[in-house]
Amino acid sequence: MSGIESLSEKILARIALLQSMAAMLPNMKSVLEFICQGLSDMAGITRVDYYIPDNKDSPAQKKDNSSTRISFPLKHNSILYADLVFHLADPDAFEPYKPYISNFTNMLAVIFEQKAQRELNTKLIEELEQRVRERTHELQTSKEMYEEIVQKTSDLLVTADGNGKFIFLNRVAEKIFGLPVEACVGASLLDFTHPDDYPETNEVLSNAQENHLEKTSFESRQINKKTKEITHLLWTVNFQFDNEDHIQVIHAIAHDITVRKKAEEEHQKYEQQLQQTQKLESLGILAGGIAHDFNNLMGGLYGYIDMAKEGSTDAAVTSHLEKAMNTIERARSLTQQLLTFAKGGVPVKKTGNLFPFIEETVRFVLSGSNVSCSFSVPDELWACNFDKNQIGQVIDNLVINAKQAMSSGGSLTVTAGNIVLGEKEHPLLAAGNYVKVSVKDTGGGIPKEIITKIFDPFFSTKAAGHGLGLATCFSILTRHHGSLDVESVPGKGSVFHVIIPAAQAIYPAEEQRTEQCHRGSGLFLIMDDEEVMRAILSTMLESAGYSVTSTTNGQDAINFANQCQKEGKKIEGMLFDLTVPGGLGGKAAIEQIRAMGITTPAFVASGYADDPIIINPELYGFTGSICKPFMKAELIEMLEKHMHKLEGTR
Amino acid sequence: MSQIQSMVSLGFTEEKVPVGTHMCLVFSNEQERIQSLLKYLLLGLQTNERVACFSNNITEKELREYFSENGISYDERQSNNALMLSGTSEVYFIDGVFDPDRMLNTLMQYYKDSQSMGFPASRVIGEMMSEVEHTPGGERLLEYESRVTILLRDHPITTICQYDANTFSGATIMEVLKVHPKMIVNGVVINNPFFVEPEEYLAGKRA
Repeated sequence: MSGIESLSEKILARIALLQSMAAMLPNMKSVLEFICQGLSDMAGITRVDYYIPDNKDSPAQKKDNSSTRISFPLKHNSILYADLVFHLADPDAFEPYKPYISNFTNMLAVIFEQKAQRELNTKLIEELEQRVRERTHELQTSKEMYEEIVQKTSDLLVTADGNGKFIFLNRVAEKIFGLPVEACVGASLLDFTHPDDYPETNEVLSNAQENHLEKTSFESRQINKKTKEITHLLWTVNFQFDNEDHIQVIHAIAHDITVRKKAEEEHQKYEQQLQQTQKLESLGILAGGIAHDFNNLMGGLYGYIDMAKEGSTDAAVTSHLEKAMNTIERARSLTQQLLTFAKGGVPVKKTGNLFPFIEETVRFVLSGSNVSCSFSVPDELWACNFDKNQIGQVIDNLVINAKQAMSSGGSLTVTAGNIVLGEKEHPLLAAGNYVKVSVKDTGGGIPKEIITKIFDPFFSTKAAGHGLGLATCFSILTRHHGSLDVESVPGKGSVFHVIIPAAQAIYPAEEQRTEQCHRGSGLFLIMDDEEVMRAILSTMLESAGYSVTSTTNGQDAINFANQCQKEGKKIEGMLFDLTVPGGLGGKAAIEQIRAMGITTPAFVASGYADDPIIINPELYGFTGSICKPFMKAELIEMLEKHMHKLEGTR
Repeated sequence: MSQIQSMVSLGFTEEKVPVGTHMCLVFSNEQERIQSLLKYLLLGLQTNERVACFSNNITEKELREYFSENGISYDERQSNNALMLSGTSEVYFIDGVFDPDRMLNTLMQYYKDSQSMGFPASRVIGEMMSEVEHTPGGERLLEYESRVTILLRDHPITTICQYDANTFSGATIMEVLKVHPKMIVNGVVINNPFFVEPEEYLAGKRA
């Protein structure tokens, strides 16, 4: 029987099936187990083992000395994948199958290589996928970081096309522009820009295009579409140009400088108010000088007419004199205003409550007008240190102005409240407690272009105005260490805020003036640089029973007093003018006279009602004081009060 | 009980096999398995056979769609008992035990019912899960398969047993080959050269 004849078809079919199915099994171990078991039943074979080099899971080769072994390496391209070890009981019976087994094992080696290649490919793909995942994660992280920086910065970041249309904006845009970012895309900066800034903003783009600028910066105001709030931005812009030198892309960063801008505006306002104060001081000196002289002249006129009226028996003459006195009264009011805001206008402050005093003043000014008024004043309003006359003057002025602003009728609202100011909270006021009184009208408001001038002296929009009203108010409040602020919306009205430092005391009840009469005798020394004043004073004092000696300056008065002392001649009383241009005034004169030991009652007169000497004459050696111009009755009242008291004590 | 042997088409190959053939499909490609299964069941229904499918890896939805695409109503066939779909676990591992006797009885009853219902033939396709190796009674898997061959002699249900080469070991796959007379390899039905007649196989087991 030939070798071919001894081959079993069944065994060959088995080998063929094993070949077909080997590739189906997932791994080398599974294939080898399958093969070894499938071949074990072949002719002349007792067992088939496999051995995988360098694999600890490979079954150990069993020693089998009783049989012959033949090994088939599963090797391809110099790689040994495994050895198939056939344990033969009958090598001759196996011999015909050797070529088939050899072919089979060669094919298995190829299958293993393919599997190894596939595993390698799978491993490489897995590694690649892992790297892709890692890289994707890195990129995602990097992108998230970038987005976090872009979105979390407090600056506005935008990218725009060559025409300035937004392509990208970070979330800050929503806060500044008042629209969702998506709604801003496609819009341009001008859509959110304050109209006053259009020209400059337009110029930035055209200037960059014209001059091929790569970088520029500018400031603009942006309007929030939702809240109408204005944000000041400082833009830093980079331009990218295409090959034809046209702007292709614009990258810009905008920093919010609203706080800085507001601080600058506050500072500017402060500077303006400081200038205002300085201007008022200069003008005050000038106005005060003129007013002083004018007031003296007025005093003479006033006194003479008063005397003439007293002596008149003709009703018509008396009526004319009364009208003349009324006219002079108005002139006196004007000079008083000038003097008040001039350097001598120190307020005579007393602690008290602003209300109901202010309410009474307002109602009085508005009485008979077509302006309604309302008040909102808390019960616990703090008391203030204030000069009632001066603050009354302020309220008078404000209400008169408001009334004139509402000539066709309207409403005036007066509100008051306690406020506590911190450091630098108000440009002119120190930190502390204040009372704020606001006078709000519904008039036409103050045009923007003149609002900075309304506190200037001699500035008036009224044909008959003398321009001292608000200047005086400002001056009065400055001397009270307070402030006068204004807010106005043209077409809607104005509100003036009077701010006065608060005090803790309660305003005492006012003393009531009582009609007095006085009769005296003896020598009365008067000193005044104005002849008319000397004359009228002499007349008034003589009518009260005194003989009068008059001097024109302080030195002459001292000399006279000295002479009288030497001669033993008694002076019953003295009345000195406080200020003598180019000469010794009343203050210096009384100092020397008192130094001479003369205790005669001495009075001081001045147009500066707020002068400390007028307010507290006894501190300067005087017995009493009187404010020019004055009527005879006022002089008599003062003499009655002090001369008789002194006489009584002597 | 015997019947006149006739040939049936399997659907996935042009070859015909005798009714009651016990075949084994070892697969490593899931798509290949699904396609074989679907075509096998479809052809059975198209030739009015009674068909049963025991698989954890095919859904009613898949079957419904596939049958519908080929003009067969799933609901109709199910309602007249021509179609039965169950999960492998539900049929093979009742109460968590693999019981060959119970399974053989089930197959025998299935055949008898088919006969009484008037079906000209019946076919089954079952997917064995590797979990059988860890299930009580699982060591009797090959005994069961061998006895199926004997059962089908008198109760000719055309049967395909599916084994996943990726989940069973190479040694188990070789043992499985020994208890199936026919193999389906690359879509072709072949006589299995490793097949061992059940009486001999079972005797060897007993020995």
